[in-house]
Amino acid sequence: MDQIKKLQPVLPLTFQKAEIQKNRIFKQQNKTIAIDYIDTDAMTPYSFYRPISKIFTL
Amino acid sequence: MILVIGDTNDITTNIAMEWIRHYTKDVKRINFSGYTPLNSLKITNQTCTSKIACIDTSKVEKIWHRRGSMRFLPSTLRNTTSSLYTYLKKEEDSLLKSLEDILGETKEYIGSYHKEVENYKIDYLLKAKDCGIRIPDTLITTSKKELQSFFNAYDQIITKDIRYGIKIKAQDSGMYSAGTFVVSEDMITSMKEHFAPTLVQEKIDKKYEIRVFFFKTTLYPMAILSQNDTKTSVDYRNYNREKPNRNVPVLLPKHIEQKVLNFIKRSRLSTGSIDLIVDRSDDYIFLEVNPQGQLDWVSKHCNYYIEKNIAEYLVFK
Repeated sequence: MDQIKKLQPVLPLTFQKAEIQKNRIFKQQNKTIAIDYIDTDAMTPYSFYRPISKIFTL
Repeated sequence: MILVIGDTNDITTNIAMEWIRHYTKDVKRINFSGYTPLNSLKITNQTCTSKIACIDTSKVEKIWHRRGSMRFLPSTLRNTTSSLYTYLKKEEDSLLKSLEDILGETKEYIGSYHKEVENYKIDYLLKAKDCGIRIPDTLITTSKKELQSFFNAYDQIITKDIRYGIKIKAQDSGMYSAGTFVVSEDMITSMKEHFAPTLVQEKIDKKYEIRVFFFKTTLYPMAILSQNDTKTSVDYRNYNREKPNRNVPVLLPKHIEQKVLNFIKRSRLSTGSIDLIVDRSDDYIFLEVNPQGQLDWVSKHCNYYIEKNIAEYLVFK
């Protein structure tokens, strides 16, 4: 991500407001079993809002 | 037989399936989140037949491709190294596109995965313009000089992704698109003389926005009163989760309705959602179209019962 920030002057304007979000990693017995991430690209409308974080089982 | 391609967690697929099953038992469903076996796609000099998830496609009369795509890669391959997965995905995508075309030749195929993937905003802007729908003045450039000139020519300009929202994943974080936003002079000043292609448009002083979901030639327009909220005033999709915009059913003027239908026909889309802005002069301005988008909120806010209508079309027409 630091490299992307350094490249910002030559990236599209859209990168100037791109958001960095941490993943939340769920572990069980020291093994990663799922990643919960917020995908702000989901465009899920509010009123019948499905959570835009998804749990993936690895 | 009706075949529905959707997603396990897609509310529209689920509601429509309830209606379809209410009317008929002769329906099969394939989910994007699951693995779909491609039993066979056989091509000879005489015939072309396919069997997908043990469904003989010759028995299918209508396909409603609501969301996502069939996934022929086993789940173990989806978690491999990124370059291997990228290669396999490209192969899968080319197969999916061909399959869609093949199935579309012999049965009614509503919706499309490759229309969604190949959803080039610039192309659709031009088609809308050709159909007589006003579009925002648009510049795509790699030149700071051109960008500055465009900035100077309008009261305000906005920027957004040309096609794909930013989605860059790292080990413990990800970088994601912020959607549409107003461009400031400082942002332009910080750019180098040349940069990666950037899309900017004149900012329309809007009264409200309209989302028009369409299924075949039936339009379901909904007004989104986003203007009074600073968070959503540039683009309603910069959602305000605490205080959502008011959404109401709306009628399109007849001449706009006809232009929208012409656009749909010209774009060869069978379903999708069109975003329009109504400006302070009551002009209707085309922004973009999404072949696979959310529609349950349009259906419910406006009491359109879109899912029921879709089910009835698939079963009875």
